[in-house]
Amino acid sequence: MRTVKASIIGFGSIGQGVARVLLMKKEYLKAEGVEIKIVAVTDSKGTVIDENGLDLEKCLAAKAEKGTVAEKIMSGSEVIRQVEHDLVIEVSPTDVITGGAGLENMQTAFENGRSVVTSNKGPLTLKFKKLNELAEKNGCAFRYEATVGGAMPIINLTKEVMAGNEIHSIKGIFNGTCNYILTRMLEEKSTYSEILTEAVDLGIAETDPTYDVEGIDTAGKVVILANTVFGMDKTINDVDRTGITQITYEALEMSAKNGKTIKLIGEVRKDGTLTVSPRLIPIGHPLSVSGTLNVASIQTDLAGEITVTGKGAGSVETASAILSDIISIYKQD
Amino acid sequence: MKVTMDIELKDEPGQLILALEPVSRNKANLISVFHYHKTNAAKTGGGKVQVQLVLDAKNSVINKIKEDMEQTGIRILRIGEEKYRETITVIMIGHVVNTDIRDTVSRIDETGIAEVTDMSLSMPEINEPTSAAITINAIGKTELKKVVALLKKIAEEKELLLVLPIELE
Repeated sequence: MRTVKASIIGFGSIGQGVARVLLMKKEYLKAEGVEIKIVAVTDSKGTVIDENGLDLEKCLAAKAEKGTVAEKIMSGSEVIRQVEHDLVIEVSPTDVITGGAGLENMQTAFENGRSVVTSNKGPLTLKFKKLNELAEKNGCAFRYEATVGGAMPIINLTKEVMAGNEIHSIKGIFNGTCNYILTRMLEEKSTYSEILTEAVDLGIAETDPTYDVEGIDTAGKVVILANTVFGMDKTINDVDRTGITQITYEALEMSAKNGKTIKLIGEVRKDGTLTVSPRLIPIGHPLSVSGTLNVASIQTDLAGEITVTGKGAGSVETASAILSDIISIYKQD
Repeated sequence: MKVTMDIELKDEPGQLILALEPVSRNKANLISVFHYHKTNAAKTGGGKVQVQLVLDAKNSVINKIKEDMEQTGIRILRIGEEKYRETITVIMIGHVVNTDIRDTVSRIDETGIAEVTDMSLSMPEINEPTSAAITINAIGKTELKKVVALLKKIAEEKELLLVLPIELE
């Protein structure tokens, strides 16, 4: 049995999802020969540490009751530096403009010889090459399936399962919030702002939805795909980006009359073109998925077109991608 | 003379007979009927099918058939010799009318390689953005790319949102 000591840096929706999934899959992991012992959990207020392994049920209960797990004031990067462990599960809030605390956490992890599994896009859209070089230099694993499409397997699919294929392009819906808004506008014959209000009420959109509706989130994912799958060195500034704020109900209705629907599509092509824009999709086309679903279509030389779809967000769904990354690192040993 | 006619029908029983009735009534010689089964989904989307008729008839008879078909609600996508091979429908959103819709159409038509064949507008309120669905026929794929580049330029100049079909590179 391989025991892996890990920290969870960030204990919001995804961090808690990781804790739940680790509890749910404890026996499964044992059968795979892996025991994940969480030695530190950090949220915005501080940290709880137990080098013998924390009781994750208690961490979840403390978060629900008190709003925090913090027992001492200690930041994520301090935990990564000072607490002895193998793996950093970096799920702190994303910031695609500066990289946020996540960037420092990942750099610190590699400098201290710790592997990283993350759902945090920000650092990868800004410093992808540098982070990968740092991981390699320090002999650390770096996995980030959860950064693109949540539960939808796209990075590992293209890098591993489809090895040998030359990939021409990847296009898809990578933001569930935009997909929800466009789907509901047509269903409810409503304006963008009316459905946005509904999405905020349901917790599908943030109070400040700019990041989603202006296509910034999708652009970040397109950059990660470009760098991972095509080996490019792109940043979010290289994406030609248009969001969905100008889409009208009338445009959706006209499209429907022509047998089409409008979706926010992110696309990366091997010629280096990165775009995010609303596009007309024929109804029934593999990319015309509804609601909060994500979908990606991969054009290849041998396999032709491969399409995958799945839940692009959600606590447990995203945690499932993190779990698969963890297993893939430690099962290889 | 031989004429090729591309038409769009509702994907419902009896629609093809409805389309062929004016051909029979006007005594044109029907040479072939071709259903675009495989490409229908991509070209027209759900609920509609594209059919190509090849007819042998005088010009005046063809015009009469065209009129009769249009009266029954059939959409004529292309007629005549093999001039236009590519069709796209795009959406434009913004102050489409205030930014001179005639100018937009003229600039496409004046290229000589494409023309606007259908347009529908929706203006919910006077100060609200207008949405337009514009169907354009082009001579071929290369010409279609040029027209798309022109559309992008017009949209940028007039600050309109251009929504293009996914199948376009």
